[in-house]
Amino acid sequence: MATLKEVQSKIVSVKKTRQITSAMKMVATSRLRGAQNSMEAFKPYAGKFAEVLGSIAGKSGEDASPLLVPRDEVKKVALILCTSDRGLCGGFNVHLITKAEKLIKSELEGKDVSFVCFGKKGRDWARKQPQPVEDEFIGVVGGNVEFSLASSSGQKLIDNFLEGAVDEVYLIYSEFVTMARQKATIKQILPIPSLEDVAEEKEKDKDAEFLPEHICEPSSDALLGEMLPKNVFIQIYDALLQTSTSEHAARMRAMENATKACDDMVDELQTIFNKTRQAAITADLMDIVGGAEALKG
Amino acid sequence: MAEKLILEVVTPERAVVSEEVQIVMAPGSEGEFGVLKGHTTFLASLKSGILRFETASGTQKNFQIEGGFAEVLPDKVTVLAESAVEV
Repeated sequence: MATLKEVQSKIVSVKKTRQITSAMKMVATSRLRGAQNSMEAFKPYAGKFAEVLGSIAGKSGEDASPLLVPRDEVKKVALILCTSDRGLCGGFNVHLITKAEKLIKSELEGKDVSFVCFGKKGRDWARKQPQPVEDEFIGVVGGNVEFSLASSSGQKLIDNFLEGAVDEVYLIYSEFVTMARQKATIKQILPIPSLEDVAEEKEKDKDAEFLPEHICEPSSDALLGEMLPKNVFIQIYDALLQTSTSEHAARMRAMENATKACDDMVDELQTIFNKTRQAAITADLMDIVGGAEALKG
Repeated sequence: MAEKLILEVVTPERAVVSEEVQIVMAPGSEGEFGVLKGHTTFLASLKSGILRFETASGTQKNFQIEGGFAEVLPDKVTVLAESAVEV
């Protein structure tokens, strides 16, 4: 049985851990709020963009932009992997990485895969893989995501795509569904999946009071050509925002659970401590009583 | 005829402007254009430049905008820009 002192020092150390985890939870909560705000702030832009894109996409042909044309033979694939920079957020990064692993082993079997990594955890994993890491951005996810970063990295991918250096681009990110649910998601961003889907999605929206006949300047095809790359940037930006928000939500939950586990442990240790203390007192008493009895003779 | 004209300037980071205006002058990629209320529906890409407008109370405001496009409806102008800063 552990001595009184041992149990006590264990209690102290668990309490200290609890302090750390509960502080981390607090930090994650406040960061989560910030991340959610920037996600909210982005919504009007994304919504309006999708609306306008949908309305001109209906008018343009499939061949309006080379970004729409699927390659006959897909050899080289780029994977954009969004993960967090830091751990202690439960299974968050593991889910994303497993998703990537599965994708490579199933659909992308035998193809040349390269990585573009946002976030340290994903990069560390990707470096250990046989596939090359083309580009990496650390210190973005979970912090302040800027649109210019999404557009510069997106532009690079588009250039590579147009040059034929890559044939398909996939985005792996964590979709923020609710506070308690984040889902690792795969999205194809290049070639852009058929515009008809975009147009259809738009029609599903009830605010279709939008006037279909626009005068376009320049022509609708030219406008579409300009908007499509931006659509790619928007998707990357959106993925980064969602991954950031998910990361904080995941960390918040992980830390909450850890704090609870610490509480349970302290309770348990306290019981042991009390028992040990009682045992010591009983032993002492026995000694005294035994001694007194002996003196009486 | 539309009663008033609302201008909205939105960037990915936030909504910058949302107010009633009298006139908007925007740097279209094929030349600057002006919009008053009751303008026909119209879609234009914008180049980097100054977006000028006059609020309902008559104050002039200028915004430096960076790439984007504008959607014009008879009662509303929506400018989607990558960045917009008041100058």
